[in-house]
Amino acid sequence: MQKKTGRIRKSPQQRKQTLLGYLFVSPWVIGFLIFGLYPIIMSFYYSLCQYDVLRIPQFIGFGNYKELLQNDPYFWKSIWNTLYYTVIRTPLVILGSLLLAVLVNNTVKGIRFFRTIFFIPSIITGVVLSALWLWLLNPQYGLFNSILAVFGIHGPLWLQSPNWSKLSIVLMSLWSIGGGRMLVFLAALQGIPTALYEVVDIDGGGWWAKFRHVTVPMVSPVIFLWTILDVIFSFQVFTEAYVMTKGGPLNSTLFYNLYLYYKAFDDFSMGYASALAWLLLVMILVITLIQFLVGKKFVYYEGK
Amino acid sequence: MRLNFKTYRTTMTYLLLIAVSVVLILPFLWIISTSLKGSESIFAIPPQWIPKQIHWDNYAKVFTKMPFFIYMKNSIFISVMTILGTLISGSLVAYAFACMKWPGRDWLFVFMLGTMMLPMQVTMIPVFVLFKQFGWLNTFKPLIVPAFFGGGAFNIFLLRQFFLTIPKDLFEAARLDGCSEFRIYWEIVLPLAKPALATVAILTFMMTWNDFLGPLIYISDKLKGTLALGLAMFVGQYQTEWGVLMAASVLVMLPIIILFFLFQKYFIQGFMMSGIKG
Amino acid sequence: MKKATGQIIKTSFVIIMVIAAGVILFYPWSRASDDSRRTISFWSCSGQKEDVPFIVTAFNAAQDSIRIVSIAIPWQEQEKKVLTAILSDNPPDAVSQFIPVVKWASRMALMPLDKFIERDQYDTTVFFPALWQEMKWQGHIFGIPVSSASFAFYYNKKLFRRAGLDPERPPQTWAEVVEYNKKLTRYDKAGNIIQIGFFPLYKSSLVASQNSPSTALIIAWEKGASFLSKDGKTVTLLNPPLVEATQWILDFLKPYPINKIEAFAAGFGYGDQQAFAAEKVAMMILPDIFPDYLKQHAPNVEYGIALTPTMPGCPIASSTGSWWIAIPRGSKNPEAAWEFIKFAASKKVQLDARDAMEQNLFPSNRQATADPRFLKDGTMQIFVAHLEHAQSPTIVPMAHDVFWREFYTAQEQIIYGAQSIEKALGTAQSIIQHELDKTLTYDEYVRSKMNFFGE
Repeated sequence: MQKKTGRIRKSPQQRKQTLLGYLFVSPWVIGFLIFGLYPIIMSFYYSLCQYDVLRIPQFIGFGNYKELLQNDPYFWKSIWNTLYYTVIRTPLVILGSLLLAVLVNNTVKGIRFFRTIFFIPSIITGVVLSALWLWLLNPQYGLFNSILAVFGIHGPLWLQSPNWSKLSIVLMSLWSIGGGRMLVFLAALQGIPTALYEVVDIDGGGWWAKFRHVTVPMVSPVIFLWTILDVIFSFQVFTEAYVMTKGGPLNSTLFYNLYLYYKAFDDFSMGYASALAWLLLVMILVITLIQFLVGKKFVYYEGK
Repeated sequence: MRLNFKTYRTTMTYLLLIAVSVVLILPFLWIISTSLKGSESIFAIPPQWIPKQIHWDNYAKVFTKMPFFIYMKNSIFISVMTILGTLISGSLVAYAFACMKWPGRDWLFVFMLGTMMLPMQVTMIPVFVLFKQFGWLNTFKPLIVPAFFGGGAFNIFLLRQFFLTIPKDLFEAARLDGCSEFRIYWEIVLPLAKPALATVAILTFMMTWNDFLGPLIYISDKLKGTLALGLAMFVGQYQTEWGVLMAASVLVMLPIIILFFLFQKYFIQGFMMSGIKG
Repeated sequence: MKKATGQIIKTSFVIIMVIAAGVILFYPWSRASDDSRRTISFWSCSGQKEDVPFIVTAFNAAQDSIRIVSIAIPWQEQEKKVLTAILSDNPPDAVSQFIPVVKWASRMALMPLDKFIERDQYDTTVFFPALWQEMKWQGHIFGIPVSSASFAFYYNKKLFRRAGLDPERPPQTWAEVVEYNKKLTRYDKAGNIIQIGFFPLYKSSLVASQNSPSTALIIAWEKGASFLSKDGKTVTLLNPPLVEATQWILDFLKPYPINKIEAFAAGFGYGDQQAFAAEKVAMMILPDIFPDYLKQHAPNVEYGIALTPTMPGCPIASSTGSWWIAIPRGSKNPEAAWEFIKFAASKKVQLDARDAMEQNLFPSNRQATADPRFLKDGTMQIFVAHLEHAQSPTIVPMAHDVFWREFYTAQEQIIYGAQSIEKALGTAQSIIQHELDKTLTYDEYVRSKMNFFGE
């Protein structure tokens, strides 16, 4: 597949490519310079200030950062909560939505109807979503514990228990995000040549062999992409906790961005919130770079 | 024997599909059922799936309590423009990142990803101040125009990763034939990328359609509101009319469901048709 | 054949969709107004019961020089909307909110109203003290309370009777509450609580969903607690009254394991599942709007309303809160907005609004609450008495949100048994103090650089 890369290009052509490359990428660069640069610079500047948005900022150097790292128990607590959530949620979301996609990557009659049903949870948002889950997870009369009770299991307190609250939010996120992710994997699955599956058939392999030896390697770029994105999204988890638990009980759902939000918009400590944001940026960036390095070894790019 | 196996397989598939559907659809049915309830039976235990008294007036109230069609018009306009901008500019940028070689490309890419990781809570205020300077407050511009400049790092990233899976030989051959970059992008890459573009389109649509914070801070005129904003009005601090809220949310979700049902073939079959793989 | 039919259906569907989209997009929905009056904008919050549209309509009808255009802001995000509106230099002319006035006033976001008050000789003594207290900052007035909330002690007569208690004699002291509670608490066969006499609310989520103030705070207030020094610089969360009040709650809950209590409390919902409405809790401190709430959601509950129990030798205490209207900095029509505020705070309008709306509002104006029109229902006297003894929930104005987050975190830690009372309150106090110190330092810096309330 790989033959022509060794070819030495002439420099005028290379220059043309460079120029065209800049041209193609220019919408984003211009957009960034107009809409993105100023806010980013300002948020960094604010992170060095005491600032409440409505009045002038007071420069305090690295005071916010120092306080965060040395003297703020909620900072560490929220990092722990967020990491816990990320580590549990990311693989489950990927695996779950991939399996959903495999299930609907089918040509049986009425499949479009099923796909639509699978997709529906991902469009329920906001208050309706939280009202729904407060009901589902209610320990006394919620659907979950009612079903568990049928099997004689005494269900947990879910959102009311410090041990279960984060898992409850993971569960909710899985349910509500599965359909959207399914689409992404479905698009990728549709690209796998059926010939590859036929090979497995001939070798006498079952669906697991197909899944393991064809599906997973063939969609590995998409898995890789969404692992990276899902880690980023998990780190930014906010709405669920904000609407349903307000960070409780015992701060067990005080996620990083929730804490940041409290600082920014409840306390109007925009400087402190900006420092939190920049530390988050550094953390996610490091984790993403590590993922890129590791990913390079495992991902199969057909195009290369 | 082979036929039997096939029937067995199909039956199993259906059983599985139905089982998963039930799990995923039950809560949605609850929303619909709640949208037809009056305040007396909403929180009844055990829940009434089919309300004793069906309150169609919840739906009527949605139309009297907010200018539904105006909001719908606004939501459609904003969503369509955003999708358009994202698809056009995002694919160009992604093409540059995935299919072309130029110095600084990888660094710029990492930088772009970095911008995605800064929580919007802290950039929201400076962005707002910026749009104020442009004189764009109380217009749709803050909600639409940025989409025409790449459509956000997330979408570019998505498209780039997809473009990476397109065999390089295709471009190389075209370039040797003297094809211009734009023609390669337009005539080779875009048609192949239909599923990815459709995915980006639907994700963008969902995001824009449900976006509540953007319209909230930029729009102050009652008639310029969007459906998501109107929906939030049904929630009160002490009093929430759950039936009406659920009715409104069903009405807001309906367009997405219909669109999805009608257009899913575009992003699901597109790739198979092209037959270029392998 | 079948395929052709399918295609016809599909095509016609698409055509209908296109036409519908066209109609929606191009129909001239908005009509121009032919009103020549001066227009001013007013923002209220969604779910602010329904009095605000009433007041606006009444104002527009009552005079013909000013016309108010009001919009409702989703209450969850009201602060963000007002914040950005002030930054936009084009804020509404008047805004109504429920959060502390000081939060905005201390940040120069509101216009001082002293000038108007002096000029019009406006009588400010008509407002309940706790409400008026909230409007002040640095000796200036920044808002006018237009309605409020008052609380009282509700008890379930049917459950009282069933437990062998006299339904006409509610408990008068907290010690009696403990006694009554023993008789009013019931369990199922598995030992789960299914009904409790009194339930002390210790979590912010419960306080919010049950429309009831924190029990520890009420008891602490009765015992004369004060959480901030006179000069506003020192936080005293760890004070004897609050420690004793919290200890009372711990003792009260001692017979019940925390997981049983939590499982029981998790059943408190909205509507007819609200704890008192569902007859899960027999005695509860609830707001003045609650009779309507019960009428709507649980008409069969037979209840009585009484004064909140007290600690021996202590006066009653209560909480409140005010909806106020203020004029944001940068308002283009402060004069007209002031006229509207005066209108909304007047006795007549508050009484009219109350009569006109199904969901009643508690007036902020004492002249209104003294009126026979208001007192026609005998229980209202009880709410008035509570409001006279009420304290504002704005306890540490300059660190308001931190105070409440820490207050509830501490309560939770204590009730869950994770920390001792002293440890939890002490930690919370130091965190609030730290935030307050930071805000005060910043405030000092800003004052040295900017002219604060200069005209």
